[in-house]
Amino acid sequence: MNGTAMSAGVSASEEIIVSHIPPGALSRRTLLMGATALAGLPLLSSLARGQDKIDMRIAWWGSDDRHQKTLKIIDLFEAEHPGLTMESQYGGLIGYQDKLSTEFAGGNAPDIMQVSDSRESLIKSGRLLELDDYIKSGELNLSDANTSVLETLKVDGKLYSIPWGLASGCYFIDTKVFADSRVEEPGLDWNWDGFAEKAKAIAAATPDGVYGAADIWAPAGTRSFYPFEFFLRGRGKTAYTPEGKLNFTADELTEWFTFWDELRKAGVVPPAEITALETGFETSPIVTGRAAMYPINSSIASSLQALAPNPLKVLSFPSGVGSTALSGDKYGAFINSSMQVYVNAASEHKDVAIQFLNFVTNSPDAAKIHLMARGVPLSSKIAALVSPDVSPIERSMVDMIQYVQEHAVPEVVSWPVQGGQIQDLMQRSHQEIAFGQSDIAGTVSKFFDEAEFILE
Amino acid sequence: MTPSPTPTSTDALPPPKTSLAKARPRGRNILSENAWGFLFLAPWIIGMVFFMAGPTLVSFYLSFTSFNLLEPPEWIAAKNYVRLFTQDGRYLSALRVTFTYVALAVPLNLAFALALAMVLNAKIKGLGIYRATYYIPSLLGGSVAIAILWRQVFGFDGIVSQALAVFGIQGSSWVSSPSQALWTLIILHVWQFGSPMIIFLAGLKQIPVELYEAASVDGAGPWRKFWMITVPMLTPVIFFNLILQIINSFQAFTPAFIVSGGSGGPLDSTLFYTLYLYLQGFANFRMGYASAMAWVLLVIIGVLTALAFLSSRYWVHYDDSAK
Repeated sequence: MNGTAMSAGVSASEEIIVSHIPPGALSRRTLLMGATALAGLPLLSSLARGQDKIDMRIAWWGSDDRHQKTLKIIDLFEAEHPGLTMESQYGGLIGYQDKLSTEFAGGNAPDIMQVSDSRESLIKSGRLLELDDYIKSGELNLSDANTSVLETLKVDGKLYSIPWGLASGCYFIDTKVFADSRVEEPGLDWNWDGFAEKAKAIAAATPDGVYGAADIWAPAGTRSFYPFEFFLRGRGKTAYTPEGKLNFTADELTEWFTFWDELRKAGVVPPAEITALETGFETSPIVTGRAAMYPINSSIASSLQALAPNPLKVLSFPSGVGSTALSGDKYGAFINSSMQVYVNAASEHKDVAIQFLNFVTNSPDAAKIHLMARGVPLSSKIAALVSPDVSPIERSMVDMIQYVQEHAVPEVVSWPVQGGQIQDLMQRSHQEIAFGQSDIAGTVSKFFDEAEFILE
Repeated sequence: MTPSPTPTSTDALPPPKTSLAKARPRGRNILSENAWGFLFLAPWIIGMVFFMAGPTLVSFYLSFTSFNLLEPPEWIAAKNYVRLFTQDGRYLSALRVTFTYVALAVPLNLAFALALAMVLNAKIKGLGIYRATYYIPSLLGGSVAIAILWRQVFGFDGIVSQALAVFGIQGSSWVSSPSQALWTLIILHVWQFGSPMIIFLAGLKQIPVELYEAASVDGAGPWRKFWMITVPMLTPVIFFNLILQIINSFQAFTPAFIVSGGSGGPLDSTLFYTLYLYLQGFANFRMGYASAMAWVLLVIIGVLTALAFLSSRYWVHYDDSAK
């Protein structure tokens, strides 16, 4: 708009000037007019392009399967928006958040992104766009979404992200090892007693070097904190208070460490040296054939299956209901916030970013490409649409997510900013016990000391 | 610590423009020469001020603040430094790991480089090819690919375990054992002997052959010649390599990051100083704390380097004193 007004203004003043020029200088007038037109043309055309031409950036992490599907979805979205160029920034999880946070600090963060660790501090400092207005206005259509899941994702009652796929902490089990060991596959309603029993049976039936289950602190897996939180929620508690302090006792932590230590000593889960070898789920014991059960986030189902030698199945996390070990009377697992997509609050094209969020949530075409690369689709309509196309592993994932949604205790207290560090601390504590560097009592008291230092 | 690129005498002189008009031949010449010098140095000086000195000073300021990258830094005086030495157990274990690494990796690396340089100093056919071949690990050593390879070599079913199994030794996983993981990194460092080797080789070539000939006439054996001639004549080169290696190994990062999967594990046994600094800064977003760590590291390296220099007058022999 600015450009047109300016060039019109210029030619009007030229008109005044040239009217004082004698007739003989007409050629000069034409020249001036021509020059003005020439000067104005590129301005106008660049303006026209400027209105349509939009450059945006999007960031996510994952494995190759997810990258390829996401790139295709972006192509499709670009095709629907002429002039839009979406630059993709993707790679593995290690280093992802470091880069993203640095970009935020430098003021050049992507327009649309997944956030792996520090969503709380990003929200607190106002870097992520609040979505409620766009949902109200209908620009972001969540009418087919499970609203109870959205409730659990809110921070201080506001929604900042939508799940690009629903996921939860889960167990992957190797169906071939179960069948070969003549151990019956557990059901979604299994509990910790059942878990220990199955793991022991498999360890007994398989040759040395093959274990019933991976250890709970599996480096790429759950790092033990999510499962521990599930256990606490089973007792009607939460891991943190709303003020961001630890909300569990030394007894509960001792119980948790003891459960795993006993399995380790019995040779049911691998010794520390084997667990420490894992650098990503690519080198996890369920891929290398060393364990029949592996705990990790369900969102990697199709990627993990692609690497594993045998057919896998997704199971929910064992609960404490009816269990003597790690008992609890409620179902503790819940849909987690790992595969969320956010919009940068400083984006110059928020409306387009919202359109993209709406696109990945509701577009059947996008869903047909994406399938379940990030978990079960948020929209029940879309989930039903793609179900016939998905692989067996993903079908078992749908069942698991449905089970968790039906049984989970609603209340979720989001982690404090330092949640990731507490998760690391939990993992190191398990290591100290597993490597025999410290006994359980010593580790528990050290855990609380260090946690206090971290949460200060 | 900041090197001053300009001789101090020129600082006091007026800028070149005004002096160009005046006719003072000698002073003018020097000045205009300097002006050209500064012009050619300008890219470097500007880079130094904006990309080195500036950020360095800012990091010094940040080391007295609490700063998470997203919100403005908050002044907390010396709290970061106090915390480092009195409260943070992981920091102390990072110090322990780093000092162990430097104390073992540097002498082993230098000994290995010197041994190979001696071998390559002999008159063998195709020596150039050998030299180039032995230099290759140094070109590759710092890279991510080699660190990943290292993980495989010293892993559970890695080559090392398999080789040991041939001799009936029960292999274990080196990289995932808290007592052995650091050794795999020390071996990785020793393996990168190329650049000290080249420098040693140059030093060896400078030792006059007459010294060895005279010693042979007097009936000295190779071992005696090594200790009485080679080592004393080589001390300036050893000293130079020592300083470079100390600074280098204190700043080692990539191998530990990759071999431990970014965690410094197992059980913090490979938690190098710089890795812990990185984790505090970029994983925990304590930029102020990480800056404080960086400055303490600077002091540590500075003190050790100064000690090496002070000690050098007792063991480093420069040839010029003999003349």
